[in-house]
Amino acid sequence: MVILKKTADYIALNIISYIVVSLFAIFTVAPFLILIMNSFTSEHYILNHGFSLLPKELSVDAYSMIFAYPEKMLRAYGVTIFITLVGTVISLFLSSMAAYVMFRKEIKYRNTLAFFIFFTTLFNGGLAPYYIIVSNTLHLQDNLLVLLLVPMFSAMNILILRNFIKGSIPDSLIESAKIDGAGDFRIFIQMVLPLSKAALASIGLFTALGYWNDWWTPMMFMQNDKLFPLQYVLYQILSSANMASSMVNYVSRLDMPKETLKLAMTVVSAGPIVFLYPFVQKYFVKGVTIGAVKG
Amino acid sequence: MRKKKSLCAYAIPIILSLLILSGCGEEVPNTDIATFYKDSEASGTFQYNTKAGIDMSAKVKITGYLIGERLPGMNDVLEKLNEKLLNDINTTMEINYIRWGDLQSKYALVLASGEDLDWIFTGNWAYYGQEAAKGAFLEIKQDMVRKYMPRHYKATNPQAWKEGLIGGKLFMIPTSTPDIKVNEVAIREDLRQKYNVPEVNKWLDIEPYLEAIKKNEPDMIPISVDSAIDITRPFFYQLAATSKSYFDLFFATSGGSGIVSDTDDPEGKLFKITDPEVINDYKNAAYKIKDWYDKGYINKNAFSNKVRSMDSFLSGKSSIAYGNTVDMQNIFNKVNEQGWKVKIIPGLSKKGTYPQDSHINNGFAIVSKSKNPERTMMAMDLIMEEPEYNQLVYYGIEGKNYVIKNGKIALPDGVTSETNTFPPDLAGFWFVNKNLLKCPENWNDEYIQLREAAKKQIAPYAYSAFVPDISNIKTEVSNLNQVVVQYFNPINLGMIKDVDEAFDVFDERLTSAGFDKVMEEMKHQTDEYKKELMK
Amino acid sequence: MKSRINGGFFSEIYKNKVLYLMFLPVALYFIIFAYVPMGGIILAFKEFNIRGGILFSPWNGIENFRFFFASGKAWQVTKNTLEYNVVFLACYTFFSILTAIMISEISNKWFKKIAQSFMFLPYFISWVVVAAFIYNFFNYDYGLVNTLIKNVGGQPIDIYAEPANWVILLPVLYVWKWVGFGSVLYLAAIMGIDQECYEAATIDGANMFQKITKITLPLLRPTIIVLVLMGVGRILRGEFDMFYNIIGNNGILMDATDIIDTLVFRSLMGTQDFGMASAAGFYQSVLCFVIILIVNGVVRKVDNENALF
Repeated sequence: MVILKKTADYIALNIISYIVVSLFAIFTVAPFLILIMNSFTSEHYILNHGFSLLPKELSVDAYSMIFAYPEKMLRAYGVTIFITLVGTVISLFLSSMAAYVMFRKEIKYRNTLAFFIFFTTLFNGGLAPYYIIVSNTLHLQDNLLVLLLVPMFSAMNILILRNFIKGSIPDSLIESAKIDGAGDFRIFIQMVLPLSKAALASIGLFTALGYWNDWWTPMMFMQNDKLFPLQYVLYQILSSANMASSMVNYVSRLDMPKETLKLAMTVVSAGPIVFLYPFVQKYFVKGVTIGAVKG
Repeated sequence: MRKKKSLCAYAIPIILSLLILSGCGEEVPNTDIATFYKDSEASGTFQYNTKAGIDMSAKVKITGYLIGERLPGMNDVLEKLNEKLLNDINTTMEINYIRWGDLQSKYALVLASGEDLDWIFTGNWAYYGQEAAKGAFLEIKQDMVRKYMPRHYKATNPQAWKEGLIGGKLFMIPTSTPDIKVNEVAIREDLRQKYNVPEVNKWLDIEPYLEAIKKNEPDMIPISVDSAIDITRPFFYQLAATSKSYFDLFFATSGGSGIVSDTDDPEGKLFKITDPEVINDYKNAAYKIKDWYDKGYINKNAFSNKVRSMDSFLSGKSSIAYGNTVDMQNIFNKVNEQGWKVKIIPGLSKKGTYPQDSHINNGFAIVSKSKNPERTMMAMDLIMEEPEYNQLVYYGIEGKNYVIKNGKIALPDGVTSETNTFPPDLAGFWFVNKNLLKCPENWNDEYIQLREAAKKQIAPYAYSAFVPDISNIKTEVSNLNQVVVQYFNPINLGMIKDVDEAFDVFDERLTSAGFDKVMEEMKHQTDEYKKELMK
Repeated sequence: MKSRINGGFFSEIYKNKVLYLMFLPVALYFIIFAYVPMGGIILAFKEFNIRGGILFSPWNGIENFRFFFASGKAWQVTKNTLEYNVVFLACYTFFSILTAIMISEISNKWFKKIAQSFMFLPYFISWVVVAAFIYNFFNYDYGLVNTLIKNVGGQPIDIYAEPANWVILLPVLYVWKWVGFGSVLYLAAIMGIDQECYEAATIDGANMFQKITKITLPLLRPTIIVLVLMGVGRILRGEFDMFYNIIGNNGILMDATDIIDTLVFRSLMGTQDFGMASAAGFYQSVLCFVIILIVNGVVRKVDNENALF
């Protein structure tokens, strides 16, 4: 009886889930497919007819414009991949460490610390002082470090991590580890990190995306074009395409891609990182039971 | 910090429309501006040898900021430039760029940060007034210019130095060659002939043409304007052509204020748009535009359209391209490929004039914290006025970026405009003496004629160089700008239900945003300004 | 026991020195990159000039705040910002949880992975491109939708002229863009739930729906609370890029779609004034601060363990 009942509601829930999730997935993937298709359409067609649902007047103009200087793009991918990897690892490690500290009951000031971090999301001094401190006090201009540091920590990610750790690690576990003689740092490395895989994976994903999509930091603090990350190079290409077409003596060809360029840029920048996600999903596995680690 | 990122991402600012470029070895027309404002004497003997009397024993490195993209060929040009500068005045120069999309957020920051910086590009559209008011720029004295920039001093109309005055003080070095341009509009002459529309010679002849396009070309939109640059143009062409060419006093500096004057009025009397003396001119234009909008002559969703009229025109989507004398060059270059016939007509006032550009449209300022103002001025004197330098920063390296053919600038063999690493106009040195530049080879006769015609059409405008000092009326100016955007732009496009009602609301909002205070202040400031120019 | 009685600040630090040391890198970062620049808030009360810089420019009282309140739109944009954000936050939270639960229930591994990846795609489509999409689909003159309508003999619609459309469309777009992102967090939380709970429930005869309402949702509560509180902390800021790119300067829609950030942006476009920008930011911060203090206080009363601070 029990088994039969379970199957019925199980099936019902699965059917609903399949339908809803499918609809939502279509709703999100369709624009992206249309986007890819139109990025391969000629500028002329788009200016005349708008986006189309079926391929018309195929053209790779937008892409050939982006890859006009392949070595520049290659370098930009390199810079972006480097800062994304290094930045995410450092950020994730230090963030989760801070989150762990704020989770520990022994810390009397844990809520004060959380407030200390949260407060920065409420108040900020605006752009001018930030710019002055980063560029004139810290002299981080034109330094690869600035690309790593500016997007490194997000108050939100740290507080979410704390919350996840709180939810997945019972105090008793920490207590017993302490009785076994484990130090605070060891508990973090050997217990908290392995038990928070799903949380680390999701926050790590957000951090990586933050690094990957960051064009603001280079815009503000970079002049050296050898250190430009991908997003900023793309941003530059678009901005010069717009500019060049208003320049008199710059005789560009008739069909200078601008609308399609925006679309192609999305494809070029999203392309590689889209593949990161399935990798992250590996850590989203049900069935982490505390008991397993305890033993 | 993430919250602050957003501003203007990927957007080229509106000011693009105010920056207009390029010219070359042409005579500057002798307009009556000099007689309007009494000519001051530009006397004194010039020091042609800059080395005389100036200590240049120390090697100095100066840093400057330009607006635009760092071109791929910039490093080579800089190397060459530094070679020459080192040789001539024992100086080297480093140049950084503020990119177009970042201008709005970064210009003020660079100056506020106290970075090691000597000079920066400026102009009335590039925050000259705002930054000078904050004390960002060094005051320029006449004797400094005479001593350190003798070439430029000689080449520059004395008028220019007065135009840049803010509260009686000068904070920038204006260009010696302001651009000569008037509003223009291009139409498809082939289609006009095809549909037997009477000839279009001026803006007022345009309606039958629009009607014919609407009727016969279902896939075309007669007028398609974008949200940033062309948006107010149909209205202002119409307004100028039917009555007077009214300009907003804040047009060049910060957008809109509702304070306007007739550019042909030498006294420059100021009006509120909704004043009884002028409102009917505005309303008449608004009725016409609304009529066009309702008939579908103007695109319906201009506020969200990012494609400029010129681009739509060239792709065959619309029948009108808005532009000016300078950027119409694009049309000539491109329509030949299409096999179309195109006619260009000017968008002038009823009187047939267009306000002249000021000298302070392009220039540079010395940053107040600069350690080397003298050397900066000397270097800039060479860059602006010495043909060899001038050609180098504008066209790049000879043989690589350009060659001279029949006394004109052409591309070297094997180099196309797309592969050229230093395309003209893009490097940001828009303040150089353009009379010294050689003309590009690809200018055709029609285009040259257009430029000639423009010289006769430009006329002095009392406030072409007026830079308002808004320190005491910041609040009101900010709010007026927002009111103009919200309540006047829809009128400009004919998107309103009722013209009279829309003007009533507009008037009300202007008043409640503090219009009267700004008007009073501006009356005072413009009087001072006119007095200063008369001196 | 002893140290708890002495309980001083330093003894607390000393006692847990390793833990505090582990917090130090993040603390330093926030001090340097957030708290030191935060001093710039004083600009809101200053008439900035270059010589004086941030510290020594003259004070000008509340002059910088005047533009915002004198605009006659302060109340309207504050209300709009609040309303949009409340709707955004509610929809975002609801749909994120819904999709997370559904995805966790789906048995086919591949379907799950692919669907999730798809949902993430909108994150990569910037608002600029979204705006281009909307324009190309819906513009009156040649938009895809209107072309279709015209082909079947209907009357084209002009969505850019009708504010009511946007009150619906903007939240839809918001959900479309961010739910993939949000569901990842809830999914991670669901994955962290101890399986023993479900097994016990099964033995007790609970059906799937009961398990969701009796186990999953209650156990998600801490995550929901913390994420909602985070959202509340930004309730007066806004998705500027979205409004700016999609609505732009459309005067017809402005009364319904103007938020604080867009009003400030439009007003200060020409003046380039740090002080006034700072003042507007300060206004938002203070309101957010008050709101979050209240909401967090309420949470504390009800559920002390899950309050944000």
